[in-house]
Amino acid sequence: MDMMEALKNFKAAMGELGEEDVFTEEGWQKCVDALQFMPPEARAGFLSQFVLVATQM
Amino acid sequence: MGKLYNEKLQLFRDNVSMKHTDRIPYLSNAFTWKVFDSEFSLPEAVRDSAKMEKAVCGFHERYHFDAYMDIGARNPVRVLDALGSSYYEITDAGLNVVDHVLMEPEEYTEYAKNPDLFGWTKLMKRKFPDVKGKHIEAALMEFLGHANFTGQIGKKFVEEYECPSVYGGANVVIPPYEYFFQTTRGIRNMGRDARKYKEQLIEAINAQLEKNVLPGLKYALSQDSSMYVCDTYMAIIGYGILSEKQFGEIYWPTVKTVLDLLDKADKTMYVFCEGEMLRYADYFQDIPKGRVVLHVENDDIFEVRKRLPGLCLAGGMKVELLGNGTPQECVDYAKKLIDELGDGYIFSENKMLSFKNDCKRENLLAVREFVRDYRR
Repeated sequence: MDMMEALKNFKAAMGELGEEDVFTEEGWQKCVDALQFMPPEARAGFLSQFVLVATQM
Repeated sequence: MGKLYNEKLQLFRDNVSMKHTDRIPYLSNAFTWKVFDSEFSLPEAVRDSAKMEKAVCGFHERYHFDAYMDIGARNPVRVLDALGSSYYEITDAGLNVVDHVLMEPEEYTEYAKNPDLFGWTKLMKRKFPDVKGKHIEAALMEFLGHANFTGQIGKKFVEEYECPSVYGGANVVIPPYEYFFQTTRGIRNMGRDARKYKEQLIEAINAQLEKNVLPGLKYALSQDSSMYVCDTYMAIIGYGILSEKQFGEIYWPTVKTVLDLLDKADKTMYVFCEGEMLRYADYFQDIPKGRVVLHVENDDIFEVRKRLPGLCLAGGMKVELLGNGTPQECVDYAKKLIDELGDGYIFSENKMLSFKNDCKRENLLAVREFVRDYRR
C-alpha cells in the first residue's frame, strides 16, 4: 500500500470516530489501528509520542 | 555525506573523546532567537513552516555554525492548535510553556500499571475534555506534517549545509522523573511528592523506565548512529528541586541504568543540564571518559571542568554577555573559555537563545568569527 492510500485509509478510519469520545481504551486501540501508514509495531509508540507532546505543551 | 560534513563530525567526535583538535567546534544553542534575528515575528513563524525554514536557513547562511541544537522543529504549535488547548504562551518577545498539573499524587500507582492507557484515558481527557475523533485526526495530521518538516529541514542541513546533526530524533531519552515534572505534576508538586509520595513516585518512575524509556533506548542503541555528534541525547531540568540525597534516591538510579546501557553498547550521550548541576557532580564522577558530553547552563563551567575532568563539556558562552556586552567583551570571554577548558570542549552558548534580548547580532558574528579562526 502506498503512502497516499494509507493516509486515505487513516482518514477514513479516523472519520468513523468523528464525534466519538475517543479517550477510552477502545478509542486508543482504534487510533492505533488507524495508523496504517506505519509498521504495526511502531503504531502504539507513535501515538504515545503524540500524547506526550499533546500533554506536555 | 560530503567532505565538509565528515570533517565537522570528526572534529566534534574527537572532542567528545577528549582528543586535542586544531580548532574548537561551535554548536549553536539558538532556538527561537533565530526568528528574532529574521524578518518574521515569532507568532507567525511557529505556525508557518515555510517562514520558519526561511528564518532557520537564513540564520545558518549568516553565521555558518558547525552544528545546531535546533533547526526550527522544537515547537509543534499547530498540533496543539488542532486540539484547541495549549500550554504555550507565544508573544513577540518569546515563547514559554506554562507549568501545569494533570494528575494527582494518589494516581502514581494507577499510572504505573499502564502508562500509555493512563495518558490517553486520563491525561488527554483532562486536558482536552471537548476533543472528539475528528480533532484527533486533524492533530495527528499536523503531527505528521511537523515530522515531515523536521525531516525535510534536517536533510537540507545535512546535504546542503553539511552540518552534522547532534543526535537522531529517535535517540532522545526522557528521564522518567522529567516526564512527571514537565508533563503531569508540575514544579511545585514534584518537590512535595519527593517527600510525601516518594514510594509511589519511584514506582511510577520505574514503570516509565521499563515500559517507555528502555525499549526505545535499546532500539536506538542497536541502530547505526555514527552520522551524529552523539549517539543519544538527554535533557535534565527538574533535578534542581531535589536535595543531593533525594537526587541519589529518586533521580540518579534511572540515569545510571541508562548510562550503563550506553557504556555496554559503547555509545555516547549529549546531556543538557539545565539549571545548576554542580552540587550533584559527585554522581557524575564515575562516568567513563569520552562517554558523555555535559552541556552546563548556569554553573561555573571552569569549576565543572575541575570537578569532572574526564568529561567533554559544552556551553560556557554567557547569554548575558551576548545580550548586553560589546563584541570585544564577548570575544575576550570566548578566548578565555577555549584557552582554559582545554581538550574535550564544544563551544556553545550556555543557555538556549530563546528571547529577543538574549543576543545581539554583532556579538554573535564577532564570536563566530573568532571561534572559527582561533587555533590553540
